[in-house]
Amino acid sequence: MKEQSEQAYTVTAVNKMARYLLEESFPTVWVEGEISNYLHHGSGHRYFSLKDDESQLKCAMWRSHAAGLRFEPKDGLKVLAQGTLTIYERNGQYQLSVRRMIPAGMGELELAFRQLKEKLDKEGLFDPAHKQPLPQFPMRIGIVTSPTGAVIHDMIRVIKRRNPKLDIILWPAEVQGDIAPPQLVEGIDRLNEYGEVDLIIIGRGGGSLEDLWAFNDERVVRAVYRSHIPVISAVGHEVDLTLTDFAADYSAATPSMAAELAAWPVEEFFAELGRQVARMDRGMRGMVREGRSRLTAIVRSPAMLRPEGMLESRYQRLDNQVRLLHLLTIKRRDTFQQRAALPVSRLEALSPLAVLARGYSVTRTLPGREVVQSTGDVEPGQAIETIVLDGAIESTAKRILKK
Amino acid sequence: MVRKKEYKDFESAVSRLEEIVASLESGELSLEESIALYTEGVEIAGVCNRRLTEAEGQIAKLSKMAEQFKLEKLADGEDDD
Repeated sequence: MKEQSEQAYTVTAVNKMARYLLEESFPTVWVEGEISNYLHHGSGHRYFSLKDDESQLKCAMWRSHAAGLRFEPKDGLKVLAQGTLTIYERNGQYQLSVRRMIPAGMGELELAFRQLKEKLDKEGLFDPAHKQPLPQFPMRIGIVTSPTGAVIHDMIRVIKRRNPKLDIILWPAEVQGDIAPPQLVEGIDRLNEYGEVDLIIIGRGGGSLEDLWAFNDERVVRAVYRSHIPVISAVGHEVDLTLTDFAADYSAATPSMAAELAAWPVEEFFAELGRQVARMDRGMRGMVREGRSRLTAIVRSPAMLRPEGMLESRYQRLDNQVRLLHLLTIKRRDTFQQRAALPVSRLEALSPLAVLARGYSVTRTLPGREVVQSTGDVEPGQAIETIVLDGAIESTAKRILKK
Repeated sequence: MVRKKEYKDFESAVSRLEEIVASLESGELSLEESIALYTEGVEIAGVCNRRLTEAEGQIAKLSKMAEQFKLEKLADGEDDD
């Protein structure tokens, strides 16, 4: 049995045993050192060494833990790393599995702030050229902040006092803690998508650097940068500067001042409108005056002063024409009368009156007034009339004498 | 930004008005053009005036549910300080 127990262990078994021993002996250690050979692997894991003047210690920080980093580690940075000593069984490498890491000598947040500021600055997120002008007369103001607390009430009060006509559209968001950044980002993005606000104010009241941290979050800063609607940031008090302030189109010292800035005084606008209309009136009056003087010049021209002069010669021409027309008309009438006389005499020859005039007469029955053309048309005793040139003779037929 | 007719916002309305005033003051227009511009200017001023007079200044909370934006009226906030 003894022989058997002295048989060799497998590599895997040895590494496993060594790992257990190590992990049990050093469940949690804090190690201070300078980062070197830092590698941010595509998998999200970080690999590096901690070193001091004499020694090095291999370190690994898994992605899940690295997500909690607030600053970006890099070579030469002095840090405090907390973790477990362990052995990576596959290659037998002894290493510190880092769970937390903070900068040594400087506040963690302060370092993170500086690093992110430098990075975003390089990218141009704070470029003044990118900043949009604030609208002069916004009608609808979007606000991204906490729906509870003094800040939103102060802002509403200031806006309503200066301009009660303005709409205030609130997108409620947490302004503190880990849940704050996504909600702030959503507020800015959604208001942009909604589109019906002319201006966005994003902000919160004062607090510690930790309290204001959401406004240094890269996601929030980027959302402010990409907003098509102008953004006023209003975070904390005057002395508080966040990266959101740097990226915003305008940074107000306090939320109340942001509200003051956004709410243009309605009376002033009415006054401005009045001034513009008055200037238009003046301009228009000028036009009319000028038109009038041109008109006066026309009125005083010779043509206007002695219009008869222009008319006389025309009247003469007109007279001539009229006379000519008159003559022509008379001539034409005479010709017509001559031409008309001939057919008239022919017409007269055909008229029954002409026949009567030659001594003939016409006989008609009475009361029927049928023209008598035959002996059969009349019976003895029938009344008849005989029409002659100057009248008619009524008589009674006495006898019928047929031929 | 879009446009409810021509002058969606006061910015564009006022800047158009300023343009009109400048043109009228330049005195380089014909009478017909002047009258047309003047009419437009008076109209813009009227629209601004009316829109402002009619504006109610609502306070509302915006939210988005199921791809729909929703505005929910909020209390005025003046009396709860």
